[in-house]
Amino acid sequence: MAEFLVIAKGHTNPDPVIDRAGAYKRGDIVDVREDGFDWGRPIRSFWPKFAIIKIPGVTVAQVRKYIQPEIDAIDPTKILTRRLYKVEVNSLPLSIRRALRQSGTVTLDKTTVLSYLRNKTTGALES
Amino acid sequence: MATEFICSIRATGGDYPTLTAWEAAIQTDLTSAKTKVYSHSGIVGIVGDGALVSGASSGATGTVRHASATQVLVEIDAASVDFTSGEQMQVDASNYVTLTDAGDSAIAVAEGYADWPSGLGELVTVSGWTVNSTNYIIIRAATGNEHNGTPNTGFFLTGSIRYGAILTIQQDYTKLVNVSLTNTGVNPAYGFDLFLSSIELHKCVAYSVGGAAIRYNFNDNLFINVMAIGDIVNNSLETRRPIFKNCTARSYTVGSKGIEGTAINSVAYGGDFISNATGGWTASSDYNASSNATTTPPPGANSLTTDITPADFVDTAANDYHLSSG
Repeated sequence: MAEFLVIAKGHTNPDPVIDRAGAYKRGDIVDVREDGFDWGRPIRSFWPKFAIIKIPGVTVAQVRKYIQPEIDAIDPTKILTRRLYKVEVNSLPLSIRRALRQSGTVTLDKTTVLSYLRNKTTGALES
Repeated sequence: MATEFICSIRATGGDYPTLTAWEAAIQTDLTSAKTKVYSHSGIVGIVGDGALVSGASSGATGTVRHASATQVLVEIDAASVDFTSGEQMQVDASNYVTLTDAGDSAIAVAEGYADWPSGLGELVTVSGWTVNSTNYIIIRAATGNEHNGTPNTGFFLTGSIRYGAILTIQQDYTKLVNVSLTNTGVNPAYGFDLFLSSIELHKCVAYSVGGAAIRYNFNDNLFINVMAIGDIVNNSLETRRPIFKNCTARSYTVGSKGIEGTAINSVAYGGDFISNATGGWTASSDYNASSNATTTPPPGANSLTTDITPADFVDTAANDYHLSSG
């Protein structure tokens, strides 16, 4: 199982270039960790800034690509967008959003997560 | 003046379990008069990151960035009055902190602990904030958790990345103190990648197995007591006025448009003080040493003109570049 640390409340920088390249936006996956990762304090206290989504049957290696930034094709050290993928938090079913509001975390199967994971550049969902 | 808002980075029981989570949580406009750090007497219930809060007496409203055991960083709403000392900053009547001062502008501090014997494995980028010379970012090892001057000791970051760095700083004025890191990636790979100006490294250790230990860009970056197992290189023709004091590195490079750097009391153990610049090294540069001194003397009238050798260090095979005695 892997666990996503997802931005539920994003940040805005007044500079549009910095905002895109640096500021985390709602739905961005900040980090991915192994099942049972010790978040160090009650998960509920990460909410409402973060949501933690647990995905059984998936390894960190399988989903690590979702924390990658969008990289400039010419200069691979230049970040264009802080995260290439985002979870469509606003489109999650009401029952899931309610669960997040109550506990700050939810367990979802891989198929469900992929159906709400969108590539910001192509606009395509992962499933 | 500003007050440090200190968050601990610990495997368990800290404010955040990773630097990445801390950076994402605290990312804010530190220069805003509405971003304030308050002291408090303890958290009652849960005051979560991002929680909307109000002042029980003042009626002030804002959004919590984070509440540590003794402090809270809050973005006060634009139209709101400030929170006041002695009042409850409430999520609701059951979840709150009681403020013990009137608040101050903030310096965001992440303090790392040596909780990971193999290092904290992550690639960190600090970006998207708004800072200035008063309100900036500090990443440092907590007291008692510092490295010993060699890689992979104390609080340290580790990872493997090519075309990237373990710690990338894209914010002016950031200070890194007693931070140690190791990049095991294939060249081009970096330890620190300093992407803006006036960034300071104090007593840091940077080790890049396959590439440069530190890459710097832009202007006025300061390196004091830095141990670089690898080269310190510049990335841009426009880099200006880097200062190296009491540093050790394989080599040092300054820019190529007549833009000067300063090296004082520093050692290049495997190369030169390389100047691609017309202006080269400043007249203040002095008391340096290098392994190629007889061929390319290091800058400064009092710099050594004989080559240093591995025997001048404690144990180069073990990456211990402390100067040997005698």
